[in-house]
Amino acid sequence: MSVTDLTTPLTSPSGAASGPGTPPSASVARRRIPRVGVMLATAWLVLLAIAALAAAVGLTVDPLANDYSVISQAPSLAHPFGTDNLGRDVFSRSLHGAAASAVVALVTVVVGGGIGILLGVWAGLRRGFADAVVGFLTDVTIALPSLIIVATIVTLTGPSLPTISLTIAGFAIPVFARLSRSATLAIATENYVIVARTLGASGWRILTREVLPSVLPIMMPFIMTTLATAIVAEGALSFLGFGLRPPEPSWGGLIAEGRTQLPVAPWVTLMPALLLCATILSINVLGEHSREAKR
Amino acid sequence: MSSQPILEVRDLTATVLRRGVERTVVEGASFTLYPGRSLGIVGESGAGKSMLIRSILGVHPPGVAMRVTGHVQLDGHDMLALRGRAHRRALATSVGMIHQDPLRSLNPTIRVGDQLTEVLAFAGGTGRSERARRGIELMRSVGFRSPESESRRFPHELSGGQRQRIGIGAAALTEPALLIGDEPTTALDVTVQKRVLDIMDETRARTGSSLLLVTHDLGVAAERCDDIVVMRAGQIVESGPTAQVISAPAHPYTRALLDSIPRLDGPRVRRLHTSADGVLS
Amino acid sequence: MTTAWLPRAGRSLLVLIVIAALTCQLALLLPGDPALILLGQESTEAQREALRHTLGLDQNGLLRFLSFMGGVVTGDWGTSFTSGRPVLSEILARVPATAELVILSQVVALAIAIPLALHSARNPGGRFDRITSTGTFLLLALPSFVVGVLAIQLFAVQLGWLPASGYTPFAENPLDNLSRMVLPVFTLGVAEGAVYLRALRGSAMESLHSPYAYASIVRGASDPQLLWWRILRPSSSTLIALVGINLAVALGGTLLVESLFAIPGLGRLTVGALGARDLPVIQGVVLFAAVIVVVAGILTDIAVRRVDPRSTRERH
Repeated sequence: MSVTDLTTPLTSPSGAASGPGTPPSASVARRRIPRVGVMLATAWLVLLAIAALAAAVGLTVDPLANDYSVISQAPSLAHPFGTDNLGRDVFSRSLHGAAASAVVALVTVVVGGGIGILLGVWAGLRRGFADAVVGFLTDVTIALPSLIIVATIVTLTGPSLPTISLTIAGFAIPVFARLSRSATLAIATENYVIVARTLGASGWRILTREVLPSVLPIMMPFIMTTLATAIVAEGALSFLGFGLRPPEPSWGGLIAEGRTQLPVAPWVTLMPALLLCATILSINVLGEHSREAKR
Repeated sequence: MSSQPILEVRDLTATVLRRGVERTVVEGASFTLYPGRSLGIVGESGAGKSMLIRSILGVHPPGVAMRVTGHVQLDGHDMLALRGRAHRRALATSVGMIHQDPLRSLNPTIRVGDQLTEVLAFAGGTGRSERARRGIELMRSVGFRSPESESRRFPHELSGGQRQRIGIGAAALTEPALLIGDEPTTALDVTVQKRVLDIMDETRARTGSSLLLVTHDLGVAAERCDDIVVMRAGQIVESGPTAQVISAPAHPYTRALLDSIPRLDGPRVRRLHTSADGVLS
Repeated sequence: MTTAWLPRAGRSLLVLIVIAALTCQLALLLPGDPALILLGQESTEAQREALRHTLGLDQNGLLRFLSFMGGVVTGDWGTSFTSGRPVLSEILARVPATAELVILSQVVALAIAIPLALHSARNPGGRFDRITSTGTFLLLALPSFVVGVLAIQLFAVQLGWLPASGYTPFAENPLDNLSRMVLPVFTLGVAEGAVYLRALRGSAMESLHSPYAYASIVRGASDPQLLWWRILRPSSSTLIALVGINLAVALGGTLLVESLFAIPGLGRLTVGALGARDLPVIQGVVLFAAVIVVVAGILTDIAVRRVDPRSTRERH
């Protein structure tokens, strides 16, 4: 991480800066994410999204097509990420995996985050009964081993992208609810909400005009964290074999499949792993950035 | 007055770097403190009093780059040249500091008896039972009735006055040549203030320490100090014997400060009024 | 001290009961006739009837819950479809390997995180801090299954330094046990160490800004004395809470690591049970995991109170 906005630390000319272990360097409030990092992260995610979309509408090689003339080939122009032991194009499979990850991540944030934030805001504004419901829901969900439950539900009901996404989203609801509840509690006592209430604004109006616009930015870092968590969870699920059924490409599944081919064709595992890690890193960078922006 | 000064500060200038901006927080400060004497440093918050003390001691705020130039001679130590172990030894043996907020300047997770004697623990060479004995003895000397049990308490279990007496005891433990009171009474009730200042004076009489009293309250300084230094915006604007500063203030800022002291013998309502050049507005 | 837990204990008990109630309805998730799905088309109606009876599917939901709870309380957690052994003893037999893996990985995570966090907090923005911060940030982007796959390839296959998989009980051969634990422990512990480092660095920086840190420095504390004797303890509440949460949800992480490294613990038991649709074992594992979460929560509370005496004030 290069730090662009850090000026050279002061050093004492007369050796006078003194002090045992006194910090020789700059301020604590220094930004930890350099601007170029934010730009790279955004660029990566946009690029990946476009590529995944292109793959999803069929602009790439069929990810399931076997070509026995090119088995376990190293990356080349024809196959940028190489091919696996069945002669399938790893690039196309990786992009299809990206599309699956994107679906899971977006469903988790939109459905899980949407329901969770509404529940949390409702509990924060109403208190009393609503509060108790949300509190207990959170307690129960936190006591559940989420990965095991998700795997169980997906195995029992049959693995499909909607099931996987919605189950992961379900586990995001309570956390969103709890966080947005406390954000709402902090906001509900602010003057502008009280003024709106005194002026006789309807509950819905207060919710959409006053509270939500303030709660959403507070939730931004957590939304980013959730995107990353959902992608990792889907990856873990597929890696264990409880996600999308094998020929269907998914990052976790690709990484797991490639394990046995590591000595012969390391790219089968490494390429999707690289995409996965770069994506998580980019999301984390943007999350950290939104956290810093809040200060 | 005849002997060597305890603290001699000459042309002290301190610059800090924050968010890439360099700022001078103390500019060309000079003063001298002789053994057994007391000096009040008076000024509003933000005048640079705390930074002056930090520069003298060589203890920078965490995460802040600070450049200090000039000359500081403290109890025979050339403070600006000291490093590492020698610097820590000088602090431990020559300086005792009483902090502003008695609750926040005590570690919430350490029993008060252990904090009282931590200067010995840091320096090493004193056994645990010996430290406990010294701590109990010291607590008794600053007015604790049953120090054996009170030393086992945590800071939040004591009253504000008790906490400040722990602070005074800790500062006086090594009988340092210099006691520094950094707004020691600001966070206390008026009734407790006087008692705490009295204990400070008693302690000083016992240890023979000189006193550097940092306060925004000119009244407190006038009552307890032999000499007064008035600070404003990082600079010393006035200094001299207390009587002289009080009776014939040379700087308009000092006059303004003086007028803001509530007095029992004066008119009922007296406000801080702005002097001609806009000071304090 | 005991009274403070009562509301919490009651709440926890309620949570456990709700989870048990949900758990015993798991079979209903199967689309269609659970018995048919689990036993296959070739099964006889008599076999299916017997299975429905074992799963309590011939009763209504409430009765099924009551008999399930009765079994849970009396230690009869059902019988595994695949091994035919009691679920509870299956679970308990797997606890040692998982416990060793989880505890060692927490120890490793803390041993890495605490010194690095304290020293980077002492000098925020300094070179040491920048290196550790960047390192942790990168580590946080590596999912454990990726780390595990790469670690096996590098340290076991390419370099041949460590065994790739398997488990030997500690009592049988301590050295072999530990050498087989190195890779899984680091796979699990490193990412958690990164989380701990960030959390502790933040609270240690806050403590270092406090007047009591200033007071200790003026009393001549060296950096190690200041950090280890005076800053660590008041800064560790968040860290303890995080360790508690990680212990509580450790079972999820062991699913991956245990199957990757072939460690016969709870995680592997669960993966096997899921693959075989061994419902009683799945139910047992879920319930066991919930109990661990609740116990870990209570232990965390106790630990925080021990470390930070301020937190006990709320009880007065």
